[in-house]
Amino acid sequence: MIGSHDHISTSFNNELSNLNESLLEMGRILENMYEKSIIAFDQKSEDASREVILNDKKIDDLETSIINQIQMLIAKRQPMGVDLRVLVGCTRIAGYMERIGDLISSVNKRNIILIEHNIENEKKDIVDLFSSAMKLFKKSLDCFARKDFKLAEVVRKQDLDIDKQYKHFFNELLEKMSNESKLVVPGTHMLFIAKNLERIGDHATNIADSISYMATGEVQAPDRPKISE
Amino acid sequence: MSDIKPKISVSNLNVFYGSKQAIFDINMSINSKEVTAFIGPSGCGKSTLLRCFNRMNDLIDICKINGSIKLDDLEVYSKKIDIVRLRTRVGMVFQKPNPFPKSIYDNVAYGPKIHGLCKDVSELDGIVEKSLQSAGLWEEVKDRLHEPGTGISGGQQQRLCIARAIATNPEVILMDEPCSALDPIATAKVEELIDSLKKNFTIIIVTHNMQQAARVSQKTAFFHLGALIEFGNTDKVFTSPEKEKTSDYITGRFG
Ligand SMILES: Nc1ncnc2c1ncn2[C@@H]1O[C@H](COP(=O)(O)OP(=O)(O)OP(=O)(O)O)[C@@H](O)[C@H]1O
Ligand SMILES: [Mg+2]
Repeated sequence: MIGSHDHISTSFNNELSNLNESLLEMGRILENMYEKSIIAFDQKSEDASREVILNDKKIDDLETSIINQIQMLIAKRQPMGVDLRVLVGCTRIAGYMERIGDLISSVNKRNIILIEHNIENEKKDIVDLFSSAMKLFKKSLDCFARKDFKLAEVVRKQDLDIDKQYKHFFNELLEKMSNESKLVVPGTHMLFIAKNLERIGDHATNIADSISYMATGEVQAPDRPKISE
Repeated sequence: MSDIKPKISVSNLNVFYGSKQAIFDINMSINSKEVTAFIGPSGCGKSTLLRCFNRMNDLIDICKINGSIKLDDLEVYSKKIDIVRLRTRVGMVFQKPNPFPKSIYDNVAYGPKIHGLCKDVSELDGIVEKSLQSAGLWEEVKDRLHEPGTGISGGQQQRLCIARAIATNPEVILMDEPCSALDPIATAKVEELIDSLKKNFTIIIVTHNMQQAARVSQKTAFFHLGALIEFGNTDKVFTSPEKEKTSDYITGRFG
């Protein structure tokens, strides 16, 4: 983890590395769920979506286990300095990952509904959003795996691009929906999917911010520039 | 920060035991009516420095000091100083509770009596009660004031020593690991006491318990091999210290 030397206590070192491993595991499962969601969407596969939704339970369980590990670490080790920051940071990251799991799962619930609708014209934009959020999320996981807080800055910048993409898609689809009433039902679901993907981008950024916090102790990340509606 | 006058100012302080140097060129200012914690590995010089503040080191023949320590405007190591007077201004509480082999009452009354701080018995009674009150011990001992001070529990003895230290109405109280012989409840009581005492006294506490330093102090000084490595706000020192050595020490990474 962050912090240059090992602790004198080897069991403390082990507990921290188990915690790290649990978070990496959570990240791997999410990555997997996410990849499967893109396929499910692109190929209109209800089976794939259902599988992803089922996987969300694993994420919830891992979050619970991580919180328990952190609780025990705090009680036993009464951590200070960088150790304290790492535990606070990991608590937050576990929370963001759990949210990402929920968002992925809700994207898939809507995908199942969308399967019977014709959305060929909008599909490409959503797939693009999917892959932008995926890139960002993978970077934030990478950032965590390497404890590289400089990479966090890159993640923050990329989040802006997703926000732009999302706003653009939102406005276009809204206009189409107002002209074409049969688009209202699938369009609404697509708006929510797009919103959820944009939120995943936000949480990826939150994860990156938590990593800079662990490294520097700065709780408040500098204001993120906002795109006006 | 700069407009507050420090209670104690240390400049270019070096301390030797014979030919062995224990303190290396320390400069620091201790704020008035705040708790300052001294932390650092065993042998880094915390007690040595603490003992300089009321010249307890004078009792050690081979101990030699150069540099300056000022208590307000008073040069502590000046030849002209009245050491007895200095020690009433700068009181001390030790690691092991060490009540005198006298009654609880006499333990507290001793200082005010020898320093002539009271004119009659009723005034002395008042000082004893007030000091025991401040030390949070009054309720527990008020019916047994004439029993021996050594006959109460360790935690109570330590609070008795604190009552004894505050009875002479000092300005500074030095505490060298005051809780290391106490259980968590007695420790919590002493910590609570420290918190309430800082309204009236400047307190410097040496502790090996990082959580205790974080709980009771506003400023923390970290020493290593006789040098002051880091000195700053406790909040900062225990969450994101500036120096790698400090970080390694407080997180248990020292090797
Ligand atoms: N009376 C003495 N005579 C000779 N050397 C001494 C004496 N007292 C302390 N020293 C030496 O001075 C150095 C600092 O000791 P000091 O007792 O100030 O350390 P400390 O930080 O209080 O340690 P601890 O946490 O173990 O109480 C040590 O190397 C110690 O051996
Ligand atoms: Mg000592």
